[in-house]
Amino acid sequence: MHIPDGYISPHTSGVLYLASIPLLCLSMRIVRSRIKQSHIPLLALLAAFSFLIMMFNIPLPGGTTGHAVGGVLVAILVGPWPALLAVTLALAVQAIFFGDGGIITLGANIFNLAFVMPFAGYLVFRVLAGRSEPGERRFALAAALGGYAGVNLAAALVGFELGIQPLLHHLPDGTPLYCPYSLSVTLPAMILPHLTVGGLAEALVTGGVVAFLGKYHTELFSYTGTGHGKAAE
Amino acid sequence: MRYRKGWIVLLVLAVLSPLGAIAIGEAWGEWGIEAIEEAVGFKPRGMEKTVESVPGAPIPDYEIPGLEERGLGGAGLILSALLGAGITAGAAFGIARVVRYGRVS
Repeated sequence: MHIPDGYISPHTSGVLYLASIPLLCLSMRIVRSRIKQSHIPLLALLAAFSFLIMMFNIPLPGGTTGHAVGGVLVAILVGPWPALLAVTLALAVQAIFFGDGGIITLGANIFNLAFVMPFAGYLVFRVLAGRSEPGERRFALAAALGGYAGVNLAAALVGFELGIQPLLHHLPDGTPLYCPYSLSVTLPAMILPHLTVGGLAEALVTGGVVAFLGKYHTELFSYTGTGHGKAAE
Repeated sequence: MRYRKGWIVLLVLAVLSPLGAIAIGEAWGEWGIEAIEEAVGFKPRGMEKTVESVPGAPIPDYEIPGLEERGLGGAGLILSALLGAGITAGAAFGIARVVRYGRVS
């Protein structure tokens, strides 16, 4: 789901950098004013976790591969704004050192995977979790569904960004200049594998870790637990 | 060390990272430009120009140069995993500390 350089135009990339930079600034402001001292090493741990989990490629229907991202899990543990910073750093290291995802497209990848995925997934989690507490089945199930929703929304967005390229940028005779596939190809190619196996993998990682930590390390849920439940005591 | 068990889990994930490279095939829309040419019959001109304009990554595809040829691709992946996770964690810790307290230590 990392868009490589050349698949989307510099214009699209620029727009998504312009969207991502203020979000990152806001993320830093929130880290500055609100993050708990104990959440700083946790943020580092979760950023590294996100980096590592993205190395585990699994076969997807259609002959391609995909991987979990962990963004929604990070958001549940430390909040969506710090999660934006954590996943951004994982994506930046992947792009700069390992050529996984482009440099010009880094803004787009940040927007899709570090912003939309954790925020959307966290929202779904919040709504579904209701007043349930860490350790309860509903809490972990909500986390799993949040992960599922987050990765699917991000996948659809990647499909959209790729698929509009032939519409936006083509030679006078219609030959595409960037991603050559149109929305009718890119959307199903991104969405279908993630609705099935990709989403399931993200749901298992998110729900599994939240279930385990909810049972044995309830204290880690001080972000989502504030206001009610055992974690706030 | 804070969250010691968590760091151990990450170490295990890094050591297991070659398992993540077994899956055959590539992520959709992450092929090289030659593969695109093969699939659609031409190299999209803007894509070609963009790819030429960006410098290559030092460790492309998480394979440490030289190790793959010696049959040590798995070790290369593990090293990349440790290196990448280490840099990511270090950057996150450093940035969060500086933003929060104005200093790293």
